[in-house]
Amino acid sequence: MSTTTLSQEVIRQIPLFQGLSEEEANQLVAISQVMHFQPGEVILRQGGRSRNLWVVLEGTCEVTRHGTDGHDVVLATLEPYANFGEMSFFHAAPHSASVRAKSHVQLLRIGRSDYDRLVEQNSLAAYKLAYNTLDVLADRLRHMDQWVAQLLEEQSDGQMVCEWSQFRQTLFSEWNL
Amino acid sequence: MRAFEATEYYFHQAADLLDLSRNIRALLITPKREVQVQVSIERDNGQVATFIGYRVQHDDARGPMKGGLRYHPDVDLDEVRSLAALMTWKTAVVEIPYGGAKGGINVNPREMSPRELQKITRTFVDQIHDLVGPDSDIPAPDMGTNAEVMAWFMNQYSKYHGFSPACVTGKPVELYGLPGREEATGRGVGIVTLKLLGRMGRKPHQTTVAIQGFGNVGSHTARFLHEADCRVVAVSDISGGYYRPEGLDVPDLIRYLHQNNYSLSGYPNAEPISNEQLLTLPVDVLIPAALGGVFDADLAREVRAKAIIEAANGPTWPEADRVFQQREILVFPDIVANAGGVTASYFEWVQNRQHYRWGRDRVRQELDRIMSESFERVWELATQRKVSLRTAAYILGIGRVGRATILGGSVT
Repeated sequence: MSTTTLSQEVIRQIPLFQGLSEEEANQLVAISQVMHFQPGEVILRQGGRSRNLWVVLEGTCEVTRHGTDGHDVVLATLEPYANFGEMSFFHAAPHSASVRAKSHVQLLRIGRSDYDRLVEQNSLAAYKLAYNTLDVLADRLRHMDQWVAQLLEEQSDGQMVCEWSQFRQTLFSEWNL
Repeated sequence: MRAFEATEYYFHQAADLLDLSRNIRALLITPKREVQVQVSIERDNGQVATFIGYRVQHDDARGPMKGGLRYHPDVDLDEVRSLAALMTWKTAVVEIPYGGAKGGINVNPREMSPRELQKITRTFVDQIHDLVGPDSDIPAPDMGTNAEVMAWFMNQYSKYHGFSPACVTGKPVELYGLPGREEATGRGVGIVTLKLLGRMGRKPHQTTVAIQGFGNVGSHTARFLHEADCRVVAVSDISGGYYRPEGLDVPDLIRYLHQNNYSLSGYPNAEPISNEQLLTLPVDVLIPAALGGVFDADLAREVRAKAIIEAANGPTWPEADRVFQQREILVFPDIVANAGGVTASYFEWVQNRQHYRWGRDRVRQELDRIMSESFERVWELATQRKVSLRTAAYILGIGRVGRATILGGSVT
């Protein structure tokens, strides 16, 4: 962990910092920390309760979810400037998934208590960050809706094929009289 | 439960064994088409009478749909729908290339003059002629209709579509009908009875038979079994039962029937008994050939016969069926036992389409073959899979309809 300075070039690329003036961005950078993780290190654990907002600066991370059948499912791979942790950051609930460093990674971390202090100061930067997070979440929800709809469709198709072929199986093999 | 509802119960019994899903059952049970039409005529007394006519076309996966047309005041859509499905399984189990249908008009034919009945029939044809025909749906006589009604039907249909003797069956023999059509159901019942006796290891001359009902089916069954050397010891009609332990003189009975305005009332050469008494006689074979819904659980416990041949449609309630099974009384089910009628209808249709005429001997020979083969298939399946004869028959029927549906690829 080190005290943070980020180039304007990097700041402009971070979706969560969109629309912030240089001064506002610096306010956020001032309350953040840059952290490094080695490949394989766990940054967030599913079910854990930390409240930090993370932005990938360098390297890639993997988001996995531990399924009910005991297998880990990879939900997403995070490239530079993507963010994670925002759900637990705004809504106090256990992490819905784990995040693990896939390569050597450099991350920007904003802690909730530091952020709260900015909010108390009526910092426009803090509100803009919240707006940007909302934008990211809305986009993700839209994708999720499409995905669920598709999944439901596939599932019902699957059932019909199964029912029909089962009928065929019954009458042409077991009961072909 | 109404008598015809037992059909659906028996369907589900077989479907359970086949492990058919709810959706597949819906596919098999739902009728292809149901039609309800207005049948209005001017009566002889100048009044206008309006009746409702129905035709339910259940399934055509195996061929043009076939089924009776009944005239009865209680006819409604539920009854017709259920009987249409029964026809689908029946034509399938005896393997004739037909689907199932049924129709009716809610009119009491006893209250109508022949002229009025003719008007009703022709008006009904006017309403449905586009939906029936030799290649799609072929009606036949049923409760309250006869060969004459079929002749009117054919005549009216032919006005729309040109000469079409194959559009109905059960026509008068003089008008494209089939010699032997009238005896066919009873003969078929007789054939399966003899086959069953063979499987039970009984000789006909050692066998006693009681028949409930002495109409078209009962009288022909009695004559066939009498000629085959069985002892028909009791018969009954609406006037009551007639019992002679050493065996009735069946030709004498039939002569009496014809001379006595088609009633056995007052028949001298037998002991009069009640209908109930007939059903509980200590006979080898009991043949209900009258109404549906004859056996309830209580009566089933009183029955002393070793085997029951269901010549009538639906004589056994499901609870009675269970009692018969527990008591190891063999029940040969209606959908095969009385299929001789529709089989003869098929022969009539074949001949009409070929403009050819078989002799009575060929009709009998072909009928005997189809009934015997059907019996064997049902018996074999019931023995192999250790199910009742009824369930075996339904499984055969449902299986054939299902395979035709799959092969035709009509569900996509």
